[in-house]
Amino acid sequence: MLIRNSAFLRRLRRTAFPLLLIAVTVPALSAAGTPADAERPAALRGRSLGSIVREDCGACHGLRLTGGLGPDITASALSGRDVGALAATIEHGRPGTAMPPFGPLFSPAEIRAIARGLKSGRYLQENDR
Amino acid sequence: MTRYARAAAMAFRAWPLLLAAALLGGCATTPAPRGTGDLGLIVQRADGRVSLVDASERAELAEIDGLGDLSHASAVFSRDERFAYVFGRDGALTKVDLLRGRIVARVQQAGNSIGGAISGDGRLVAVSNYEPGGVRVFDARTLEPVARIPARYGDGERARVVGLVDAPGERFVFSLYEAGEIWIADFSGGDEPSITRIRGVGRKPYDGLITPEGRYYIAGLFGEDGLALVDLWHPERGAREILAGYGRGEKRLPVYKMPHLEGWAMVDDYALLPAVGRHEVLVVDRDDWHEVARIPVHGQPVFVMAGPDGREAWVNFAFPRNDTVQVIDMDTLKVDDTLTPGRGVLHIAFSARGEEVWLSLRDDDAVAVYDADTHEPLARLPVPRPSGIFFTDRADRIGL
Repeated sequence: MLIRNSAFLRRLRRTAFPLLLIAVTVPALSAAGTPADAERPAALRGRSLGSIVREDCGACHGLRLTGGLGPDITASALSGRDVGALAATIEHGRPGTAMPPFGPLFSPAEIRAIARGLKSGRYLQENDR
Repeated sequence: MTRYARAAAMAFRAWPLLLAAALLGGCATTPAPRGTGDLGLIVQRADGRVSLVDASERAELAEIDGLGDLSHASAVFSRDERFAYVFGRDGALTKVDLLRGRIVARVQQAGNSIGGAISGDGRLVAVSNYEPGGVRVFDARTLEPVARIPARYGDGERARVVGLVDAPGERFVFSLYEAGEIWIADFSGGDEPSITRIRGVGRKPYDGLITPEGRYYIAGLFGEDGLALVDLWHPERGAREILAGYGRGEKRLPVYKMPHLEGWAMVDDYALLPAVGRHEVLVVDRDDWHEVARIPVHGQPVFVMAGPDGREAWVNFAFPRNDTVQVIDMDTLKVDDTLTPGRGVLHIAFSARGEEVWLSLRDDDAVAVYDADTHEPLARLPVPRPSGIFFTDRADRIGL
């Protein structure tokens, strides 16, 4: 467990830093960095991030994010993780595990929003589509 | 969901309860008794609810509430097809009376679960658990605990259990994800199972199926390109890897949803299996398990389901390509139709004789019914965020 964690931290240092750079150098990505809805796969169109997190991240992490094949990603389980590290995991996945990279599907701004949303626990209080 | 859909669901919900009340009360207007062979359950994954449906009427008869977290929920049926056992994500096992449309027993048996099975004699229900990793077995009548099988490996850590199926001879077969093992728990001698452990079957088995005659157990591997095969007539021979290296060194695509293995797509000499991380359905010869073909498809397959006549197989796909279903012609082993029934196609179920295909459309809050022959839509039922569709004819099938 320790070994896996430290390997993960090494990887995070590699991935989180460029991600932070992007976040700093391209401010206000929330509008500009988001792909137009029409260009997205149909499965993402017209859906809130919360719905995607609950339903599709939920395929592995459970609809209530309490874990399954993937680990528990409720707010309390993530309390020790910072947003940048979480965002890096979401963007690049975790090689050697079943966690895939979501970078091909979401903009960096959206990924950070998802990381923040997970930390806040708000996705479990909402039920939007 | 829309107000209209809710109203429609409410209207359907009322009558079987009246029916049940009339039956119990023995009142003058007692309706004719009914069988359960035409019934099914549809999981409403977000609401902890199941819809009880009549397959011929294509209508919801009742909604049964209070089943907990139903993400990835599945169901098996008692031999008399009166009761369903629903396996929830949150570790709950719920027994539902289909005639009365209500829960009759429920046990919180683990922290996190992934599915279950019922023994051939109908006596035992087994649940595969992620947390704590292992299998728990219950009396199908009362849901009283019968046996615990902790999935210990290595230095005593517990693996998550996947791909649990029933096998002939009152056996349950399942795979240990982290351990790369397949276990056979034999209950033919009573409530204390004898366990056969097959080690080194391959890296990270993620799901399993048993062939319809109950002889072969196949586990899909996430950690490598290939599948593990066990001949249950000869478990002493261990597991062999089939379709080893089917990716042929090509890089896998990101896997946003694990495929599911079920014993449906066994047609004549062929077995159809989803490839992991590829837009392909794999076809193997069941005689010697060599690769016959790799069928290019729209996305990463999740379910590959053949109808009971074996003429065609329907395939759905992983997020985000989950608005499409393709139909494979088993004669030519080619895709002969591509449908876009709606958003979030999660599950495919054939009616018992195969004339209809039911599709759950999670993001459209609907279940669509298609003509299996013409591929034309026949009906659409309003069901909030549906996932698994389970008809009672599963009661008579090994491994389902």
